[in-house]
Amino acid sequence: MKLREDLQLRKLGDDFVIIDPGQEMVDMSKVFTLNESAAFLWEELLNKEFTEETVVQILLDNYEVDESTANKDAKKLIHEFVKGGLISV
Amino acid sequence: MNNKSFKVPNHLFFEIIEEELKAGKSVKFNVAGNSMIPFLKNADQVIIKQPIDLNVKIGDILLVKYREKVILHRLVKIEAGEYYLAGDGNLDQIEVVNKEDLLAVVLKGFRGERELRVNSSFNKKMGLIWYYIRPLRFIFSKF
Repeated sequence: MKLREDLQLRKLGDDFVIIDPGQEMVDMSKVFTLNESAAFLWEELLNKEFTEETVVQILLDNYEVDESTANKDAKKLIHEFVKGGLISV
Repeated sequence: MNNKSFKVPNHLFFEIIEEELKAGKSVKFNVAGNSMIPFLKNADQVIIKQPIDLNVKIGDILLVKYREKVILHRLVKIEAGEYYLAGDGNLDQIEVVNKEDLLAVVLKGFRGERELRVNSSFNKKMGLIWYYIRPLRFIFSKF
């Protein structure tokens, strides 16, 4: 799977938001907020083909988490990304 | 991550909007607050765009910078290069801004799936009448 390349990650105060810039119209009525670690993952995953294992590996490399937590977090994150329509499969 | 509504500082949110408007795009966002009742209310959605040469007309609903904030109110008067705005729901306040404070004009409004004809000349006239009868509305608000 891949992150949608047409979306933009923007910093908004202490949060990060994903906005859909569209061709003619930017829809700011539906923005997705990401926390700092989700935003970090977004940037790591952008423009590449990835799997759940890729996400687990990024988490293990950058955060002090054990494998089972990383697995759980990766699943949760991908689920949220899919639910938010942020991933093109 | 969530997609429920969340509060962000007004100026940060509109920084992004301002950038997109300057790039010539229209922007859709949720109205916050009830100062434009009955024409727009909290959680309605509007689509706004920067008009060519910032050419705006009396009766238009405008997004403007006002005292470090950004507000969405109706243009009720232009005089000596100054733009007078009033919230439809407000009874006495008027905001006066300059041309460089104008950001965008409302093109469309929505309440859920329903389109609000906020940009029709009828609605604009009604909005202005609603403003002109402020003294009456003030009296009735006392009952």
